[in-house]
Amino acid sequence: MNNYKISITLLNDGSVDPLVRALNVIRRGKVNVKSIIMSSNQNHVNVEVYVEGIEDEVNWVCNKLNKLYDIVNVSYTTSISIPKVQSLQVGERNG
Amino acid sequence: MNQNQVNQRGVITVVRAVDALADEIVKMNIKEVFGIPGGQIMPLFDAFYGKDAKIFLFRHEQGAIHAADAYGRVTKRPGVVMVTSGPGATNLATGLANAMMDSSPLVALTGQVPTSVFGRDAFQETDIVGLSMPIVKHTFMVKKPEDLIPAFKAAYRIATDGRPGPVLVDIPRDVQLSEVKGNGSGGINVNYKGVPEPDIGLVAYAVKLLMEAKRPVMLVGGGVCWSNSTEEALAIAEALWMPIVTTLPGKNCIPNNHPLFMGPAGMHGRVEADAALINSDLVLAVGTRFSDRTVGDFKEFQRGRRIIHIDIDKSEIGKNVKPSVGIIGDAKATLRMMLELIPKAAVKNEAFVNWLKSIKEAYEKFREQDDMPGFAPWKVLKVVREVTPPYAITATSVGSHQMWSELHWDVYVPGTFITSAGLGTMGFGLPAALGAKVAKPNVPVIDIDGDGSFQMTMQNLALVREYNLPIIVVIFDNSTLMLVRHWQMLLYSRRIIGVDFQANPDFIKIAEAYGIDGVRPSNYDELRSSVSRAIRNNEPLVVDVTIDRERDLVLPWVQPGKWLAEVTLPDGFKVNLRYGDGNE
Repeated sequence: MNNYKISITLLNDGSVDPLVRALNVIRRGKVNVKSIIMSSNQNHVNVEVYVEGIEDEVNWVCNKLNKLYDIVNVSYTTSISIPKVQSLQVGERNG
Repeated sequence: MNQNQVNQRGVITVVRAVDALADEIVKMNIKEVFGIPGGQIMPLFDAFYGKDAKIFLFRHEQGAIHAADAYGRVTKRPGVVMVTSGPGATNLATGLANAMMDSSPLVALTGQVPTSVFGRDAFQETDIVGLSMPIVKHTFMVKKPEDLIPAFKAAYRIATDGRPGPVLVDIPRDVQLSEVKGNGSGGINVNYKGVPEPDIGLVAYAVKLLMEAKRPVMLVGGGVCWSNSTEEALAIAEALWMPIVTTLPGKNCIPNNHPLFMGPAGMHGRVEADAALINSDLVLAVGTRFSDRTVGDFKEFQRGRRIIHIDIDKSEIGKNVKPSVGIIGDAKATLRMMLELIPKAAVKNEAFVNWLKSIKEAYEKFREQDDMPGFAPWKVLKVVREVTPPYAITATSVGSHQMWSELHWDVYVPGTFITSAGLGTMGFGLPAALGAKVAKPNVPVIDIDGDGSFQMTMQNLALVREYNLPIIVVIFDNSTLMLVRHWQMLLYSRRIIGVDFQANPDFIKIAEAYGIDGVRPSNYDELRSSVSRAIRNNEPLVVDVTIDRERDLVLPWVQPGKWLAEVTLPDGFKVNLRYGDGNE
């Protein structure tokens, strides 16, 4: 088992549908998801998914992602370390 | 600029998005649409009023989508199905998954609640886009009227782009009713995949491996039909005198009376096909995903043999089986390239093929002499085949009748055998037969069905008289869910539970209720004459063939996950599956 970073570029259609489609593929892959970082601009959504697994399975995920019609690019690299991302403090308000 | 029209009285009429879509659909020469209306899709149905397109009103949405699926398989153009939101849309789920698994092109248009009430749990609101995402090629949620035509056109194109499959377009009612502004070109952005050119270097290497092989075998999958490459597959097989085995969908792609055709391999495959794979030193697999039903044990399959895998879908290469060579591309283009590189005087291993044929002949002889009280399934198929034109289309449902058909129904013309292979959807046969009849009204269409499967979608018999779709339904009536019963007998110590029907309806009366002749033959001659008459007179018919469930075990059979060499043969039939043991 190794760590990998899957980098995905999606078309941005103003909805989260392209992202959900991609996540639907990843959830069927035999990999453990450690972290997801997402950013977007007007045209594209960029997603970095840090996973743990065997290369064959990471390859399976990437090949399946590549079939999606809102995918611009998919690639994976061996990840040296999984980034730690500070979560936002969520407060509850009632207006 | 808008698309409003001026009528004969000079009154400007608003062109709703759905009017423009219906016009576009007709313009695209889509003349047959399947579906059921309901509140949220009423505008689109209304837009078809008076248009040159026929709507086939099914009695359940599952039937409509299976018909669209079969229509797509027969015409190789996407079938179109339209239904309402909520239950109408969710009833499509099985059909979408079925089309996805069998790579069948279709476009599903679903009505949706107005955008103003999205997420408010409005009446018949369901997130069909979210629900269907994992079981379709792509989905569109149309939120602007000017996006509707572009979304439909993109869906139609995606359905046959590369590997075919289903696409869903969800259309809120307010969008359907809105006026199209601008030129209607919309803002749909799609990254089409297209078909990659096969790598000539890999093709050359594959040919080199083929030339080195002593017992090469071709494994044909459904992709050969979609790429229309039957001719090329046969040419390569003939050049090397290579036996051809198939998957269940692949059975549809090779004339079953070709001398090199050994039939489908796998769980319910032919013994000679299993023997071919077991003894092969190279498998040339074309347009197949290496289903567990075909291969059984993936590790054993890869042991001691080279594998060349040709597929249009990159994600299939190495998914289940690691090939020696994986070529991404259209089967036709790839096989043509291979043909050019194969020497004209290639060595042919006739002894291997002759040995496989001897197994085939022994099995056929065994079945001819084998009998059971009442009707034997393999003899029923033989009799029906004898009186059916070679170009007739056959659909099946899922169950023992399907597996018997896999073993004993001869497909003479590629593209004329429609079955639910990947998803294994009971109830597929009848609506699929109706869809095929819509696609080819002048061709006889037969649904080989089981009593369990038939009862899942039999209400769609109503379409036979309503639209003059004279199909013939042959029900293998064993009053049980036979394949499950089979597993209970062989894998669960004969603990038979939840499969036997104690009170099946009278299928003859069911047929009569729909204005269709029904017959329950008491012998093979009656079966032959009734089917023959229906075909001759182009009349619909329901044939109820009683089969003894205690003796309806579909054998040969390979247990799930087991290697083909561990096949269970019918009692009284013995064969050595090892080539080179002095039995050739």
